[in-house]
Amino acid sequence: MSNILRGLFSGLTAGVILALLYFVDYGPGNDLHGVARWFALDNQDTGRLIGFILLIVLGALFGLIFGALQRSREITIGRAIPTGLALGVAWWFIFAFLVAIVVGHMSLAGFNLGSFLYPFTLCLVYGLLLGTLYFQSTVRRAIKAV
Amino acid sequence: MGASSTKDQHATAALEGRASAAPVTLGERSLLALAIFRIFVGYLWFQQLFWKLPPDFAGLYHFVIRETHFAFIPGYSYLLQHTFLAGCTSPNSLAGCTFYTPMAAMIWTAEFLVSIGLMFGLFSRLAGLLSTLLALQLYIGLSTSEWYWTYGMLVLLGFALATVPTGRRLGVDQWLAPRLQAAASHNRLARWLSWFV
Repeated sequence: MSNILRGLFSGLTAGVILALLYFVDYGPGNDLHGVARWFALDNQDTGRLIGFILLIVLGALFGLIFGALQRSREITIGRAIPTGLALGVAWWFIFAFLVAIVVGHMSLAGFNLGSFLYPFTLCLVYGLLLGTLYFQSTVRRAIKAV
Repeated sequence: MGASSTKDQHATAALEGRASAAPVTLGERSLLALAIFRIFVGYLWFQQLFWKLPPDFAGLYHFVIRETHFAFIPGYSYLLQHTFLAGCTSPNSLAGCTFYTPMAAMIWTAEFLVSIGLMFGLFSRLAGLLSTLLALQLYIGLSTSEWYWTYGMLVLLGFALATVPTGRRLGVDQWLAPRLQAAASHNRLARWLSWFV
């Protein structure tokens, strides 16, 4: 399996776990509206579903980038985790912050600890999952090869 | 004949004993499932940070007051009233409270560390231990006011995570643990820290 494909699968899996985390809250799935809001796609009927799908699609996209960044190098856990976390930060900055401001669904005036901490931490969790899942898949391949 | 049969029985019993007491090794799928379990428990703690945010941690006040009414350990209410709630004059406002904000900040920070530790698998067993203590405090103060097992389960979840090294999959402990174990032979701090990963 190529690194890009491995990145795609790892990203998809991490994206699904992230989407499930977003789904679990006081009113199931309410936070998924927030994800749809990053892209100005939120509405009463479909906001949650759009948010859920967007998280998985974005997860796969960042997984592809992760795989592409590895080229043909052997990955170590010491590199997989920081690379994953860096992509998590990139996700937060581009989508949860920049795009959300550009489309007018978040303002710098309304930016506070709560609105920062929640999506930022979850993007970091995604990054950690991406890195460790990718590493785990390469270890599994190495064990099979032996 | 009789002696050799008794000897055989002893040998079989010894073999059985050794086999049943052998250390249990978890498979990769079980480890990954436990890691996901850890992340969700960490998320449980993480979500509870947002209804008692700094700077005033006002959301917590109502629950501390409730703990003074429902705590089942004698003297616990007295302790809360003379520490957490010292100087407070009303159950509806923080007016006059002298120690509330610093103590609430400690609780919030502890819960933040638990959530980060569990979600990121960073010293996950230490985070499990800390979550057990925090949940135990909730159990003492609030379990009689709600379904008794709610807080009991929270204690048990923390305890389970303190006993199993779940951070070694899908967590930073996967990187940390071998390094700490390698350093443990010549560094006492590393030896202590390696208990918590």
